[in-house]
Parts: sequence; C-alpha cells; structure tokens
Amino acid sequence: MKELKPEQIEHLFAFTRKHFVEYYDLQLELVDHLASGIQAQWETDPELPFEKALQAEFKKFGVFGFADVIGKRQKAMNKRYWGIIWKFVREWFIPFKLFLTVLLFVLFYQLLSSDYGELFFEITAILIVALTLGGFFYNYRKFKRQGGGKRKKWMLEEIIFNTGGFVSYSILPVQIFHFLANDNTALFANSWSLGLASFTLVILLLLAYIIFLHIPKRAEELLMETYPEYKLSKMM
Amino acid sequence: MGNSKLYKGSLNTIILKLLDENGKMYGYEITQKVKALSGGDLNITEGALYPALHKLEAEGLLEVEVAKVDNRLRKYYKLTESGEKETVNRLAELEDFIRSMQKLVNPNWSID
Repeated sequence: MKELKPEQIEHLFAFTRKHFVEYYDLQLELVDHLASGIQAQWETDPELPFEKALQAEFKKFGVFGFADVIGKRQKAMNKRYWGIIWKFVREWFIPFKLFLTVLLFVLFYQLLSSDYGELFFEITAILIVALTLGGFFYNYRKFKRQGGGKRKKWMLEEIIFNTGGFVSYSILPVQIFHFLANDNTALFANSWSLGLASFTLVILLLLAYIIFLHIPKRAEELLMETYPEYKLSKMM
Repeated sequence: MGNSKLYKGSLNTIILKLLDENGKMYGYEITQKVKALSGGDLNITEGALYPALHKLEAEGLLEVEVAKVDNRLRKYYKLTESGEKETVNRLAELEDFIRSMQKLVNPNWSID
C-alpha cells in the first residue's frame, strides 16, 4: 500500500494548524485520520495527487471544517478537568484532612457570628480573590517559563495553568455580600446563613488550594495519565 | 435519511457497541465500519464522530492507547470497565426504545 512520506505528514500537521487546531493532542488524531483517508483513496487511485486527496478528505468534516471538533473537545476536556478537581476534593475526605476542614468551618462560624462578622466575611472574601489572582499569575508565569505556548500545546496543560477560569468564581462571595448587604437586616442573623457563609468560604479555600497548588504541581503526571501520546511524542 | 436526528441520538451507543465487538479501534476505522455496516444509510460524519468519542472518553467510558503506525502516531479507543457495563445498559435501553416505537408505529389492534 502506498504510504505517506514524512514531509507529507508534516504538511498535514501544518494543514491542521492552518485550520485553527492549536493543540497537539487533537492535531495528532486529525493527522492520522486525514492520512488514513488519503491512503484509502490511493488504494483505488494510486495516481491521485496528495493535495487533491487531502481536500476530498477535509470536505468530509463539513462546512465548518474542524471547528466543531475543536469546540466540543474543549468542552469535553473542561469536564475532565473538573473530574480531576472532584477526585482531589474526594481525597480530602480522609479523617485527618476532614478534621482540619471541619475545624476551619467551626473557626469561620465563630468569627462570623462575632460582632465583626460581616467585616470578617468581606475581608476573607476579598483575600480569597487576591489569593486566586496571585495564584493565577504565578501559574501563568510558571507555564510561560516552561516554554508553554511555544512548544507543542496540550489542551489539558493549558486548562491546568489557566487554572480553569477559577478567578471568576472566586469573586462570588464578594458579589453575594454586596447583594445582601443592601438589605437592612443583619447579614448573618441566623445559624443557616452563618453556616452557609462559613461553608462557602471553606469550599472556596479548598478549591483554590487544589486548583492553584495541588493540580499544577502534578501537571506532568496528569498529562501522562490523560494523554498516552504525551510520553511518546516527547521521545519522537 | 443518513443524517436524521434519530440516528444522531444513537451515535454514542453505536460507537460503544462497535468497540465492544472489535476491542480497540481508531477514529477513521470507526467511520468506515459504521458506513459499511449501515450500507451507507447512516453516514456518520467526521465532524460528529470525534466529539462523540471525546465525550465518551471524558465520561470515563473509553480509554485511549497510542501506537506508532507507518510514520505517525495513532490513537486507539477501547472500552473501560465502566464503559463495558454502560454498553450493556445503553443497548438494553435502545432495544426497549425500538420495541416501544414498533408498538406505536405498528399497533396490534384487537377487539378482545
């Protein structure tokens, strides 16, 4: 069977990049697909020019080309990322860590029920935003220092170091506070609102720890787990 | 007919069933197999296949293996343990659905 030459494979990689496929994991799969399709065409017509066979194969992806594949891959990878976060959150529920979490919850509850409860909530909420912003820039710089963006791009790696857009969620308590503070009644008038506020702060701190420190530290390990091609592509 | 929504809704089940029967398969192979099995009726487009594969992978129903073929890398998909269980469930659901539709489309009228 007529095979593609290495320079034609390179051309296919360039072709996917030209059609906005930035990530190597997806490029790899689409290049194999196009190459398989071209080889199948050559089986019936060995004289068919490479470029013509490529266009025929690309046409099968429809009018939007690779756009749908890219968009849905991003969605699937985000889902996977949140699955990873959830896995680490679950790991937190072992006796010692759970004890620490409950202790933190009780501490927040006590502080919020004091006379300065509202002030404490606002300060903590703002601190969380500052911490997450700091965490975001720290990870972003680390990613750039490691050559991120210039070498092969992996979708999950980018999500990990962009910290999954968590910064936008971290603003939530501040917004809730300002929304509720417009009301004249005391913010933490009953144990339910106190409990909910303490719980939100604890969960946000736990998520921030997992997203900004725990996961980026294990990025390499997670990439190897997610992409069997990660290790292989490094050797090629 | 090939692009009907009825078929699209069953794409994931079809992929799971194919992988259950064939062990591991790669993307291009799956499209060709579906086309061959349906005699061209079910024209599963490349634009629909990969999102379905990636979604099933993200759900933990499929896992990926990579091998060097010719002068490139190829991704093979295969069922995980939970994927195998899910295939049985989804096929049973699909068969139930087909039975219900048959009753609806072709009711067995009787005067008893």
